[in-house]
Amino acid sequence: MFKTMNKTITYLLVTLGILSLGVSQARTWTSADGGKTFRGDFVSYDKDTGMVKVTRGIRKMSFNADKLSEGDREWLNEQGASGASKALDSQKIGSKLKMGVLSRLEDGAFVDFAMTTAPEYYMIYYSGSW
Amino acid sequence: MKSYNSDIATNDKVEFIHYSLDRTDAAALKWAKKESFPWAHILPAKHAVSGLAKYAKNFVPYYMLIDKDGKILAEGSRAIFAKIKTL
Repeated sequence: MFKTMNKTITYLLVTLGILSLGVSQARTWTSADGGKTFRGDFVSYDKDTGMVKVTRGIRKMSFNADKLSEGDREWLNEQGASGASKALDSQKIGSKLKMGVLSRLEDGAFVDFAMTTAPEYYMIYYSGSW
Repeated sequence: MKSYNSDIATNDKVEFIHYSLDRTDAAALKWAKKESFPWAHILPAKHAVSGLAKYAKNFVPYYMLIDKDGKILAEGSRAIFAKIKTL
């Protein structure tokens, strides 16, 4: 009796989860080892660089897809490539700001950062800590 | 930081990039950690390949807004944020 109910509830939750993907890009992401999860809005995925862009409120996050669970990576592949890499290649500015040139602070260290969209404008801030 | 959060962080048309003029990556990291900078950085070792060294001035801080083709649209933070509102 309880086993049947559990199966039914699980089925309904999975179905609702799948249906919700078509309505909203907000989803729960799981780390590659399955130990951590967080809620965030999917923005884009660049198959060329493997970089995923997610927002949490006003915070933009960018990380490599290999940090995500297999299920998340499959989901990303279904979304298709963002085309950001090709769009950046066509820019005088963006073409030189690809993977390996930009860095971002993450967990107290600089990590490589790749833009997953091709912005039309760049605000550049020249400064140092001194 | 307040203007960044309100006008750029959620604006896909504009990317904010800090071109670090610190002598070392370690110095840049120390500052970034202290201020919790949320934006992208070009660290000293990447200046030459970034294509942005030629725009630097002999004073800091210097802000500029350029389009994807490298045309300067505005200089100075106040003028830039005013310009961004019109984009």
